[in-house]
Amino acid sequence: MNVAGRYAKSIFELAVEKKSLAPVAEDMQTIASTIAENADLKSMLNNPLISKSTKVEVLNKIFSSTSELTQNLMRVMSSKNREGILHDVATTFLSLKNKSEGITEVSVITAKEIKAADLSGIEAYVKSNTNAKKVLITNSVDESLIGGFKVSFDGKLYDSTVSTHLNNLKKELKLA
Amino acid sequence: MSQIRPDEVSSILKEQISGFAGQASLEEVGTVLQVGDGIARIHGLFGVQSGELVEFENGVKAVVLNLEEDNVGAVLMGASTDIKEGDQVKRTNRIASIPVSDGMLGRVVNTLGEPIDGKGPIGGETVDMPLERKAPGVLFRQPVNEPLQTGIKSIDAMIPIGRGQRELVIGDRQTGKTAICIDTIINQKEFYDKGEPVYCIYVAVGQKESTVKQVVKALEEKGAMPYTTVVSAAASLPAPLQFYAPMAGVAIGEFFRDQGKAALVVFDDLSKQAVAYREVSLLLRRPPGREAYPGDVFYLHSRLLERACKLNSNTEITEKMNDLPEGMKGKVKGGGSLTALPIIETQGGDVSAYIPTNVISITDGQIFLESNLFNSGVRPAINVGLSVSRVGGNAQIKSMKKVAGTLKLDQAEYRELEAFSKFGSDLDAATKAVLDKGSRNVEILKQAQYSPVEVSKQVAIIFLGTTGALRSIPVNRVREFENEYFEVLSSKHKDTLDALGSGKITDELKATMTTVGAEVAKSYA
Repeated sequence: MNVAGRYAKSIFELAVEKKSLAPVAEDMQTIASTIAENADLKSMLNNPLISKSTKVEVLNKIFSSTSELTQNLMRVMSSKNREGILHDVATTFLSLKNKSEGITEVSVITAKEIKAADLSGIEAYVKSNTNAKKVLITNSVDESLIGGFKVSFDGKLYDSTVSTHLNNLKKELKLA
Repeated sequence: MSQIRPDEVSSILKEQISGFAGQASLEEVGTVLQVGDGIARIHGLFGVQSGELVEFENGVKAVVLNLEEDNVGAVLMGASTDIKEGDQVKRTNRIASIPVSDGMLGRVVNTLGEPIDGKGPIGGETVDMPLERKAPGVLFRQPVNEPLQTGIKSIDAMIPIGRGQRELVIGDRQTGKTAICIDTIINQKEFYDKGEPVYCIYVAVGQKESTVKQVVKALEEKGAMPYTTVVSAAASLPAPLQFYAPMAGVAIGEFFRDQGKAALVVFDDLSKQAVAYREVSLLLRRPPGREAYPGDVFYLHSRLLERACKLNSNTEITEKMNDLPEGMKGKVKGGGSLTALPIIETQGGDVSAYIPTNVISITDGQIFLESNLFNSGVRPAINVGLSVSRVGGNAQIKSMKKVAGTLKLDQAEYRELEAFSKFGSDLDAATKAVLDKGSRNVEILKQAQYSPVEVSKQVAIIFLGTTGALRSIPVNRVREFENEYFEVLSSKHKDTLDALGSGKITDELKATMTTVGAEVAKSYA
């Protein structure tokens, strides 16, 4: 387990113990998205030239509305000079939470916009292939796929896009 | 080249395209975190097994060697230039293996079993043989009892090799290690012509491509290629291909062994394989041990050489062999054998280095070659005192066993007294007799490269040597005498040679050899 994993596990177990998983999860969601969207913030946290006290101040200002536990986590992390991995801790925490609740994250990439009815078909397919209780689908569009769709979850991939089929065909014809 | 007919091409295309539809399936994938030095670190691939083959987007394959908490370490079996961070990697659900068929005979292939001699695809019905396979257990084996004739007088007489044995060939550079093994392969032509072939596999690890080419040319010229496969992983190829090459050679040998046939595999050489394995291990961050080799370098060689064995002749038992590949089921026949001749190159005659001691302890004996013998004209430069064969004695044919029984002792005695030979005429008669006999025996055991001698002729000349019948012949003319003696025997006493070759030794045969020897010797005195 890497460093971020250790922090994430500790805060997750603590949140479960104190029965405050929902607010902490919400905090983590905010932290993950804020840092992901803000490249300057990320580079500032990683910058060793900026003093610890400045970083703590900035973090306190941005995430002032978070819960007590989250605040403590940030204090502990900055005291150990680990502000840089805050984003990793947040994402690892969220995946830990999903795992414990039986939620499987699924990413669906399509060539064109997809209808909700089709998504529910994919949801049923994923449920039949995993022991997921709930499926969280994120859908994105990538026109370079030409047609078809790509579903990935749990390190598995169902690839039925026209571009992949064409590539496979190309390989096969080259071999012959 | 004949013109391609358009209809032909499109019909093939149609066939391929119609058989192509609907190939999407649920695949387990991972992404490349880091790539370099022939190693890829991959995230994902949660269900992957150690030793499994994985495939990159561009078709390059890799073997998974490290399973770690948050990543998978794989060694690339091809160029890493087109692989980038973030690339997708697919599981193949297949343990690393190569397709083997009878069509491999006469071909030069790489570690992955692909032809590299430009003679087109390999024909024949292929069977997937795993590179890593557990050796057959005790139940499926049998003691070594058939000889593997090398055609080299000193080996067949004093260090006999049996089918299924592992005999190490060890020595410094330029002492004729490869020459001995190539001669052994060439000598199997006799059995190929008789219809009981010993299939040979020559594995070249980390050698110059030009050297491999020379070996192939020599084998072709001597008519040895029809029953030989050459596996080549040249020095320019990535280290993983080099350290898997002996495994590929053994996998091909097992294909013949399991079908009840005899096979011989030469690893040229295992020191370079160990170096390639060390490179990969260090890049995978496994801790280094003695001479920076990883801790499991002994296991690397022991599991490889254990796969050489003599199988039980009872087909009913061998059919139940452990770890039998799926494709071999139903094809198994008892009594097959796989003989291994690993080569180890020493530095400055130091056999107490790490890899040489390891391999000496694994094998059933060693043939020790020395550069000072080589330079003083004793070729093959075998040091008879240090060379042993622990199991071959049972496999020697009866006539050879009888005739050569005293040869090793005679030669030991000769070497002990050799220092006194400088005193010339001051010696007593007994010492002089030992010296005379010994120096002539040394001449008998000399042999040119690419000229293996049939076992019947070996028995005939060694008989004369051990009985002291060469006393009257000047030392420098012994080899000349030998040639003439062989000529007379094969032209006038074919039946005697045949009898000796079949293992018989009677007083009558002995008398024939003595009289023919004496007759030929007359003109040399």
